[in-house]
Amino acid sequence: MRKHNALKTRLPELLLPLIFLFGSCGVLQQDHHPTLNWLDEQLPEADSTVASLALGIAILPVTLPAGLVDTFIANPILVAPNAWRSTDDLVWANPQGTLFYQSALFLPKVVFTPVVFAFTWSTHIMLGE
Amino acid sequence: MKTFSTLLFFLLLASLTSCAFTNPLNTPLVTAVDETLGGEDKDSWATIAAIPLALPLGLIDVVVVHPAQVIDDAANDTWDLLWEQSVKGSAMRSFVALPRLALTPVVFCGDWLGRSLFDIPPHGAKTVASTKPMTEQEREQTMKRIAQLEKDIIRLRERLDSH
Repeated sequence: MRKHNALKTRLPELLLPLIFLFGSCGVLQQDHHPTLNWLDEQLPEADSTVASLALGIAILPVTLPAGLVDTFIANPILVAPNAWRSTDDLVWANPQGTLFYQSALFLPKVVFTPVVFAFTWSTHIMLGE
Repeated sequence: MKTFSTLLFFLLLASLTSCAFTNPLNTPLVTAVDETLGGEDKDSWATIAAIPLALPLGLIDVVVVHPAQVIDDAANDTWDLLWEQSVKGSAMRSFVALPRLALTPVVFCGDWLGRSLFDIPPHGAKTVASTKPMTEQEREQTMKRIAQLEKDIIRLRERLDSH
């Protein structure tokens, strides 16, 4: 019973990384998985389906951590500048209205910047560029 | 008794939510019996006598036959969505295989459930209705589908002739 409750309370902690893993489709883009790209350069290309399957299973202990590093670290870092540019475009670029109007908007913009950044960042992580 | 009631409830729920049954192609047993009895043109004593058969046959169509009919479509959809696109590089292929494997039963079950409940065109059918010029692969798929449909028609004709 205690074990069941512990699992229930830890469910979000277990689910979030899984959702992140399956949602990070941006990592599939060619330039967004540098660790796996480096491994691809080192590894031979299998010439048949069976060989490819066997090689895929054999190198799994290396490719799995490499893929996780790319998914959880490399891809989010690589898309962060684009996410910032998107945030800048949405919140800060092309200010309109008078100086007084812009002064009034300054604080809300500052408050909203991290919120918009979190949204654009997660979108870039999911969709790539 | 409780299990039976639950089963009955789910069977009824499945049949009620099953928009798929609105298409005669998705209820082959009912359609076959209907055609054997003469269809809409002929209301005979045989038709009236066969009415008690309609509900069980309809249920079998909805719960067993149609879900079985769409297994290949669900499998093809799953293949197209998860496995069709080739992945470059041994390491990338090895890593991507894990999410692909994990998602395969999820996508297959979702697709199968959707196809079982709703009247969704067969896999590859949308390319036939497309106005864009077909690619070689699409043409090949369509030709295969036409060949399959022709075989089905011949089989249906043979079945009708044998009665």
